[in-house]
Amino acid sequence: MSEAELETAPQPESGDPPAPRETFAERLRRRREMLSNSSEERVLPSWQARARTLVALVVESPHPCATITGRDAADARRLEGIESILFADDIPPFRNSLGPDFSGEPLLAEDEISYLGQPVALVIGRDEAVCREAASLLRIDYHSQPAIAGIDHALAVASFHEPPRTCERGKVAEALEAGDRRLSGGFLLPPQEVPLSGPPRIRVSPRRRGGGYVVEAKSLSPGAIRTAVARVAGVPESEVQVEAMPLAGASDALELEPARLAMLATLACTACGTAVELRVASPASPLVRGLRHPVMAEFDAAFDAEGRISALDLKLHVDGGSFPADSATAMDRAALHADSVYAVPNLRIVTQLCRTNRLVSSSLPAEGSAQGAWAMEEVVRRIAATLGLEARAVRELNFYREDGALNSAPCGQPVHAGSIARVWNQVLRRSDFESRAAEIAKWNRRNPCYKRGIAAVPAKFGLGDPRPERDAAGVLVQILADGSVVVRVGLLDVNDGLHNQIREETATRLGIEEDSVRVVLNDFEVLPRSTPVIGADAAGLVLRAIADACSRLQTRLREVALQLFAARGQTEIQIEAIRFSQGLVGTDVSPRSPLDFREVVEGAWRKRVNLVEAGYHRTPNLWWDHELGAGWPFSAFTYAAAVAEVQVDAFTGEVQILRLDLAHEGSPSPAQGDRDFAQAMRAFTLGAGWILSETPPPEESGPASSHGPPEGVPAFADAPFEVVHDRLRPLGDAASLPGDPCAEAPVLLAFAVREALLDALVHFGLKPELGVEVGVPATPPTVLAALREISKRQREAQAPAS
Amino acid sequence: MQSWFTFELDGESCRVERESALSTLAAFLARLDPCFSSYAEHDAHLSPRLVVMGLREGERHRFRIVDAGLVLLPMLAGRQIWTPEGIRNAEPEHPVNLAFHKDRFECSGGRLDAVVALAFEGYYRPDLRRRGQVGDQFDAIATRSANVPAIRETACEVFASTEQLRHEAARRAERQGQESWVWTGRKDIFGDRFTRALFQLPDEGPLLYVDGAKNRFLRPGNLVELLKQMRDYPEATLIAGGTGTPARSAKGSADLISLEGVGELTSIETSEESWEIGAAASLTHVAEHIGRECLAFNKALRRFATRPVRNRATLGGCLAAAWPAGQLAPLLMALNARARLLSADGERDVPLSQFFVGEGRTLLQPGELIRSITLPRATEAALAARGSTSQINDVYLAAPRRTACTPYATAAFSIEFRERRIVKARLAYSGLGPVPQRAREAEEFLAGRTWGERTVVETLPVLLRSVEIAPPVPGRIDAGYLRQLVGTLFQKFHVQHPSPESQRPEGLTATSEFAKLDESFYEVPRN
Repeated sequence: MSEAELETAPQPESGDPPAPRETFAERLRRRREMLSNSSEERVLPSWQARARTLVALVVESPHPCATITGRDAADARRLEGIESILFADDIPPFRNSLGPDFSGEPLLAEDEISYLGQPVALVIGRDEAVCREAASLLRIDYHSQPAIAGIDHALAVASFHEPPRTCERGKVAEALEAGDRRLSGGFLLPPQEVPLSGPPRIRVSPRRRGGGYVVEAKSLSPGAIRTAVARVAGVPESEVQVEAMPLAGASDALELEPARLAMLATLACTACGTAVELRVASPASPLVRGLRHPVMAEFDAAFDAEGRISALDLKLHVDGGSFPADSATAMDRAALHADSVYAVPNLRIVTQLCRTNRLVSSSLPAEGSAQGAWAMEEVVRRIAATLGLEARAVRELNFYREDGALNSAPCGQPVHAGSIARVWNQVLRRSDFESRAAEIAKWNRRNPCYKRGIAAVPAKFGLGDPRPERDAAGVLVQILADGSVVVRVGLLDVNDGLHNQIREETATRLGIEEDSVRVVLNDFEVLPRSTPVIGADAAGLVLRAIADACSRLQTRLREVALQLFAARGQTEIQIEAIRFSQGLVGTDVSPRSPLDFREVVEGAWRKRVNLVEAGYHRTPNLWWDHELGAGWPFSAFTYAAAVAEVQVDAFTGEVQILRLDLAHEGSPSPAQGDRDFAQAMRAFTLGAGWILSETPPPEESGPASSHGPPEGVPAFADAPFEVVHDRLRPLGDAASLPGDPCAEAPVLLAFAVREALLDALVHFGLKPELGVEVGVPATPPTVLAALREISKRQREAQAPAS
Repeated sequence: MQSWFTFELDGESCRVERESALSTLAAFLARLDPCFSSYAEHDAHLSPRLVVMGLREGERHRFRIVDAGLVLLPMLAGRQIWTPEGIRNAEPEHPVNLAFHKDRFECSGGRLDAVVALAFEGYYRPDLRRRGQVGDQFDAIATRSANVPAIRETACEVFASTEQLRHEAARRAERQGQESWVWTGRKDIFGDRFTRALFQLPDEGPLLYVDGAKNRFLRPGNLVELLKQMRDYPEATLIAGGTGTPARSAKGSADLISLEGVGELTSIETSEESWEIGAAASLTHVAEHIGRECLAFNKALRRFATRPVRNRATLGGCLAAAWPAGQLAPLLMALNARARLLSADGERDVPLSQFFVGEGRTLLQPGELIRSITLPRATEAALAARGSTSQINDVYLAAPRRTACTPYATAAFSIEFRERRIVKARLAYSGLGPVPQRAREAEEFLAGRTWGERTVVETLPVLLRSVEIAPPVPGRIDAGYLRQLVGTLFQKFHVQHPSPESQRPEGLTATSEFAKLDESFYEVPRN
């Protein structure tokens, strides 16, 4: 250990007695020695220097798989305005790691390069231009090696992260053998990219007085940022303050990537002692572009002539990238959603994490769950197509049923079959499915060049995270002297209107006016790790944490009120009978002359009653064991269904969504209709772009800059022309009610668009025996190529007959 | 030369002194006030920073939505800017602000700002009258987090109220014996504080601005001055809307000469046979002028970039940039447009089909600029003068999404008939190769034939032979798809225009019943 390191890591070696505190003179001497010993001569930053902001540029690997054979920064270091250049060697031993969340990925690549864009060096300088110039002067020798580009490749060379995980019910092998008919096949669900609005804003600055760091980072999990920065800087987490950035929705930022960047920025910050802003090589750098997990599904199904599936063996190969990070969770989610709403008696879901030379992450809504559910929907559709049956009928036949033998998911968590039937029937009735399907068939006969299709798809979505530690929320409710209330929530504000819902809940629980409640989101110090905004039932957890705090506050205030009533001579009032409502405190028995909430708070203050309460909620009894393939991983399932109608242009292959009918379980509060609708549309748009139009990045990516922002992110005019939205009250008791039920479920419903598209293609002559596949996403080139293929194979099929 | 100018910012006069001539409005606002700090980081594609510009276009006063990151400060001299912040805080409250209240629209502050600004422009747009146009008005919002149906419905309500206002004003005007000004927006019918200030905007005079770093921004007032300044400052860059060359890529000490003040370049002259479109007229302005007669132009424009860009981009700029996949060039080529090029040596007139010589290269010589584009009209008289009786023309494109993206390919066709026989066909494509191209061989093949399904089928192989397919951006799109599009887009043209006279709506009444696209916002009550 060098002396510099000793300074940053003050904790003594275990066993040794604590070192005696050194005097100022000793410290000064040590400092001077340290300066004269260091190979490079440089002046320690003065206070003027510390007041500046430097720029740190991440030098990224241009190869997806390579060995670094040499590094030389001599030319670059000589450049005017360059403060420092850091390689992996410059990081103290055992510190070059991103920490447990990143599966051992190094901060800066040591010898091995495992993915395109992996950080190799940090160039710190006066401004961005100088850094870029220095980066171009760096000489890093790579010995490039063949990379594993995709799932196919990984399967071929058996490159996996861990043994496969299995989730099973029934006897699959026997049932497959005994099956009436068999169908097997495979398909690929490509990744989706998150284009961020604007550059990644990562800024780490040492706090002026009192040490510690202030971090500005656009991130979905500020808690992870705090942990990351504290780890690299070697300070306690309490010394790190995370500033929130305004976000436009949950898909506006990433979860893991900002933590990686924040660690790099902290490294630069500790090296130079000044505030540092981080830059990446280009806006197209993989470090700032979240990528969903691509999934390759293989299935083998047995079913009868009516389409009732008796057995299904479903294999999901998930691209886990070079460092799995949280890919295993995404994979688990895929497995847990792969039964969708279908009661397949013999079902085996095998998931496997493939190791490729890519960077994937799971920071988009419904990551994993969408891939799992879609795999199942695709299987059901193919079975229906093979049998020549209507997909809708085959779906209904296989639903979980209230009177059926199966009423739990393969992992063991119960499924509420009645809710499936309810949303399904609601959406079919509301969309007038039958008559519209007939209408469309008629319309299609008249129009050779445009065809329409309609399809209905159900979804079951697990609320919560299979990692139970994430399913908790904390709030701090403070009643101020005039009876107004401040609620601090340990949750990131993604500007989706949650604060309105929190305000409503608080006001209802405390029986006060909504106007007197102020909600402070983005208070990351309420919990050790803030509640994640995606992948967990954040709203539900927060609302219940508020209920928890409010009930305790109310108990205390009730006693105060009782005393106040007694002081007024109303001694007959029972404590249980005191009600809080609309800013008034009174009883049902004598509704006259109630107390004002303010009076009660005033009284409580005089009597020194605590008016600050922390609320906490964790979903009880959550567990998930991936080795057993069993557990109770979600706080609840929410159910939704959608009918989509699309029109395909035979000349260009463009697809337009004409109408969308949604039925989902809404939040329990009737006042949150607008918010639920916005949430639903936002999630649906995300899914629709993924399945329909967004071109995934090429697997064999060349230099990072060649790939621009993804094309085909749905624009304003691409939205469905007509949206019919039904928000149902969730069934079940209040204790198990989810708070934000439609949450990310509509992402799954976007599959209805693909089903409708395939329905339209059936009107163009698509048949299973033609063997024409339409890939995901169904971009205009894909659709037009499919149309050409259909007519070509039709001609071939007819030729021998004639 | 002056080192200062003023513009109106949110209703107050704002003096700009010694600010860099290359500074954008977004950067200026970010420095001005912390509430605009988000304007500093700017990405035109992902998060445009929208503000409303009030200006005079010839005789008309207009609010135009623009992207603050693409507008250079000196362009604002003598104009108005309303930021969303200003609209939100104006007293009395603007109807748009009431409708798009934050509590109802669960978007972020930033995105809601964009919605408010777009709705504000739409509120005062005299040509925004049908539901189908709402998509065009808001196409700058290309985000996954916008609640499109809610914005669309609210916008319809807001626009219906202005339409009602306009109808009432029209009735009043009718009673007084006046008429036309209501629908052209030549007179203030709103009378609110925003329009009152707008209609008081004086004539924009010439501007000679020099900033602290001795960069000049010149806005000459007429063609003679322009040529003189081009001679005096040969290094200067010509700039019109400023959308094609983002301000941040403008280099060091370059001087800029703005074409916006040159009346000859921004006006549109209409004659019996043709339109003479000034090269520096904004695309929106052009569409307002010729769109009613030349439907195809409107159609091509609807899928061109986004509204804020269309408000600033100019026809001349689009052609001079010579994008391989430009959406407007094919239509102009198919309609046999000609470009008038102007330099100090004089003027020359070239057919647009010969204007493009290579990727990003045109016939333009150094010191030469496009003065105007001559676009032949298709009125009966104009056709008769060309020896034909009728014409069909249209433009088609295939793109990854509806708006704001580079299309895979664009095709424009125009066919002139005499007594059902094809006199002259012009088929133009862009996106297939490095330059927009005409399918000459197929055009000759079509001449003299009758228009019908058989002709189309016979033409297809010739058509494929006569275009050169070399995808301009390798890897983006495979040549097979482009090859397929060459034929299918032509077939689409035939399906929609099966005979010299008739025209079926696109998609055979496909989408109208859903979108109620043709439904106007406000139905005039019948007495």
